[in-house]
Amino acid sequence: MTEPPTQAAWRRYLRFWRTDARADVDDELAFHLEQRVRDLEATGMSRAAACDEAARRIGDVSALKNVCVQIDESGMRRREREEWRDALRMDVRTALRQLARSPVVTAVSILTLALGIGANTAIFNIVYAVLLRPLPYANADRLAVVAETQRDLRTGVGPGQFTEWVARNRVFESLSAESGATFNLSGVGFAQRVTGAMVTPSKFRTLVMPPAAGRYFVDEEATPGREHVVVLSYALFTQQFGGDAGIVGRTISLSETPYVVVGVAPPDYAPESYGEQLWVPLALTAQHKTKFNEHWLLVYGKLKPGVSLAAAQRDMERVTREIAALQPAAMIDRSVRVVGIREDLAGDYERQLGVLFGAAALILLLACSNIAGLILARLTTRRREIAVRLALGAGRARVVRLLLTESVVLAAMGGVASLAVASGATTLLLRIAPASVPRLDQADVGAATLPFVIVATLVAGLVLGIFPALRSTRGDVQQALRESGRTSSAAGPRDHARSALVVGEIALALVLMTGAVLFVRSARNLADIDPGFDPTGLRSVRVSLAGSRYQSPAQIASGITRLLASVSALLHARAVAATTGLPMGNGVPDVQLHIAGREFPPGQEPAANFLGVSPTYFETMRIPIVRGRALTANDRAGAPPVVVINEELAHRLWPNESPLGKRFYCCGDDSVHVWREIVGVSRNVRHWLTARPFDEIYVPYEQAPAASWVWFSNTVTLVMRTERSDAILPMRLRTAIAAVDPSLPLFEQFSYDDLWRRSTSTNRFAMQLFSAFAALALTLAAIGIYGVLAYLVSHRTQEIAVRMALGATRPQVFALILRQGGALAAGGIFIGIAIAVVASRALQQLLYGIEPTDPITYAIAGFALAAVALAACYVPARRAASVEPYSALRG
Amino acid sequence: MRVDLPQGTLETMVLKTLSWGPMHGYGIGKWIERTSNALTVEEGSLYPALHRMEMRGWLEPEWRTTENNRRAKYYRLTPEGRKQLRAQSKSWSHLVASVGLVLEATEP
Repeated sequence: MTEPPTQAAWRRYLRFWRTDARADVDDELAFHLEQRVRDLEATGMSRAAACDEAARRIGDVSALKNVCVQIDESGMRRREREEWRDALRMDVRTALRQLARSPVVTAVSILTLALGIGANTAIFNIVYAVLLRPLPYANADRLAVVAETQRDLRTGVGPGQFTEWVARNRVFESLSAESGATFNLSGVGFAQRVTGAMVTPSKFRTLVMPPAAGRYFVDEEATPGREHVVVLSYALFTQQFGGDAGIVGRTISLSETPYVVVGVAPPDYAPESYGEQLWVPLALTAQHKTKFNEHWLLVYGKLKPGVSLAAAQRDMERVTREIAALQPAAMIDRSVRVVGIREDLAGDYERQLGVLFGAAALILLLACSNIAGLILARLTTRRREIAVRLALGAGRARVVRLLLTESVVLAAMGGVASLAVASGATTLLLRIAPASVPRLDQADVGAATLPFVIVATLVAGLVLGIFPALRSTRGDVQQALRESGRTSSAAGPRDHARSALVVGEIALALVLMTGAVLFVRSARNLADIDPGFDPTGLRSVRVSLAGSRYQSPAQIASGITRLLASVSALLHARAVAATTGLPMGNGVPDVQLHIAGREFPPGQEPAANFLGVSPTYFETMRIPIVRGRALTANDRAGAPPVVVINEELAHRLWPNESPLGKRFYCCGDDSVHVWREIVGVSRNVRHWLTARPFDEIYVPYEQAPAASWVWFSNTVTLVMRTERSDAILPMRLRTAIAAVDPSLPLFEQFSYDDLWRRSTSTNRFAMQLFSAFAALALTLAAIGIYGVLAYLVSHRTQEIAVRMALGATRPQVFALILRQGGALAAGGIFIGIAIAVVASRALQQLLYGIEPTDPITYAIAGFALAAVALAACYVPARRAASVEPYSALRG
Repeated sequence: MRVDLPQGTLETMVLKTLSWGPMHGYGIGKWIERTSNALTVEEGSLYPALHRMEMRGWLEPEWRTTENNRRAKYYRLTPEGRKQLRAQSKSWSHLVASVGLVLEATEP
């Protein structure tokens, strides 16, 4: 039973390094057996019999061994865990003691971190809500928007094209088409305008979600005559119908037409396209299906499993070529684009939010480098403590761990504090964010926040700690001990590190400052835009003339006339007008113009935005007529058709002659050509604030083609000039409109201030955020540069005293310190400008009227930073200049 | 006579054995068998019990060299082990007395 000696020696060797449970159990049991054999032999047994008996008694030795080893090892693991936990607890306690020793530095660090992490978290909450949060649709990664393009601009899809797509594509499981529509939902005692959509029944197959009640449409319901069925959104179902499932099968009145409710969509079915409250079937007639030049459909597709967006794009381009071969005239300059639904929803905001997130990350980086500077400064004074620890036998790893624990504890405190900052900042962001950002309403300090804060905190803690920790354990222990109280010579290499940090901070601050200045100047440019009309005191309200009383264009026109009369009576004949397209308010359709006596090659026919307006429009909006005359009350139905065009169109079509008296027909008057004579030219108006003026034609609403009312869903905007302070105007407007017809719902009541704010909200949001970031960055950089110089001065008091004793004047000493600060600032500014030139390219599309490389901007940002840096140098420089040489040298 | 030991009794006996001084596993088993006059201590129970008690901190291991120059693992009572011994002997006596009262009862 004795073991070969070599093995025993090996075991002893192993045991030297760590306890070996298995070897110990082996030895213990071997000894047991030996003793047993010896005792049995003593009773007179033969050695062989004794061995057998001993083996019999002990039974399965290897099983016994395993049981013992298992017990030992589990105990050891537990003990190791406990030891580790004890050590951690001790480190944390030490860290807290260290942090408590310099409360001001600690407080500043925690505050800085809280701001840094909090700002990031707030932006992250927005980014998460808009870009990352899962969509409510099953298979959202397979959903795509399919749009036609014209010269690379997205347009709607023609019913002809859609029909061909469905027939010819090989990549989509299903394709659905829809078009927005509004309805007057009327019941007992209320009239409400609801937004809805006409959809092909395949819509609900494309965005798969089971209905909350009832069913969706069947294919047969997409045929004329059977289409009077409706699916309600869950919101409408609960708000308007009390959430009673008994509504399914009942009839409701939409624009005075009865519709049967067949189903209710589920609550989280959150359609983003129009914010629809209900859906009715889209009945594409055979005539529709051959229309290739009217682009009014929005098309969704669900890709077959495994098909990529790129593959779908290629396939749809093939389909488009096939269609072009059939319909060459309709397909000139046209192509197709397949866009993932997530990308489509996020739209332009992806870039903007990316920019903001990048800016927030810069702030965190700045905060970290600032605190790293503070930690480095403190380490210099702690050098002896660390040297003592090392001399007393603490391993280098142990000291690194201790210092890392310190920085992580610091970061954790900052992280906890940042939750308050994040929650406040998110609320603030939501308040100032543009209302048009999709899915923002659901942003919150939610479940995604905490993991983000934890990760950001840990990263910050490690980044903060690793650099100083590695630094401090390097170097000669004995020398550090020998230096005892004198710290002046120890400042050498660490100062370079701190200086580098400060240069980096200034560079980062400059980048943010540049962004802020760019946005401020961009906002200035926006404010300076002349829209071409006078927005002061303008108010608008939209009215929808839907229902059986407004079937014919004549009925609609007379409705508008009565509305205008009623409202202008109310406003005591102050200017009131009607228009189908309000600048900055709603979009306008464009129509092809066929000009008398002129031929254009296919695809190059002139087109212009169509507006149906009341004759008072130009006067109300204060749009000057530069040639000819404005529309008058005589330009009514039955009178010779007339039109006013804007300068832009006049210049494009008749650059060298007067357009007055020229004639064209337009607007789907294919069967009967209605020739309209140009009687006036108006000044250009910017329909959208940041877009250059479009080509526009203004047609008297009484002469508007019948088809046009369909484009506008029978809605018209009343616009009037009012006293700014008329608080009860909205109510009086309501009364005036109800006096004409109480069943007319009105909506989108705006003052032009609202519209203006809405048009500039994206820019304002970016400007406010960047300004806040830049202010934060400037403060942090100032603290950083102040810290380095103050430290420098306090440790060079003796040297400065010697200089002064040798004849240096106070201004010279002042200048010396200022020069040092100035060198740091200059370095940072130059590096910052280099980074900003590259980084600001990301802002290009968010700016208006200014290039990202605008030199004046860089000059402003550079000077601002230089001024702040010099101000931060002032106090330390003053202190240096006020050193009293004698007392400093004697002390 | 073979007696099945109630759960935990072996541990109490081990603690008692070690109250005389440090001992190795074989010695512990032998002492209990000799003193009890009737019990057989099986290795399959003894050694796991020893290791368990060591992990609980009742016993402390100590490698020693025996008279005949063999390395052996001795176990020693820790203060915690001594406390356990006192508590366990007390509850054992209590149990024996209670069971005795029941079994020796003379009237219903």
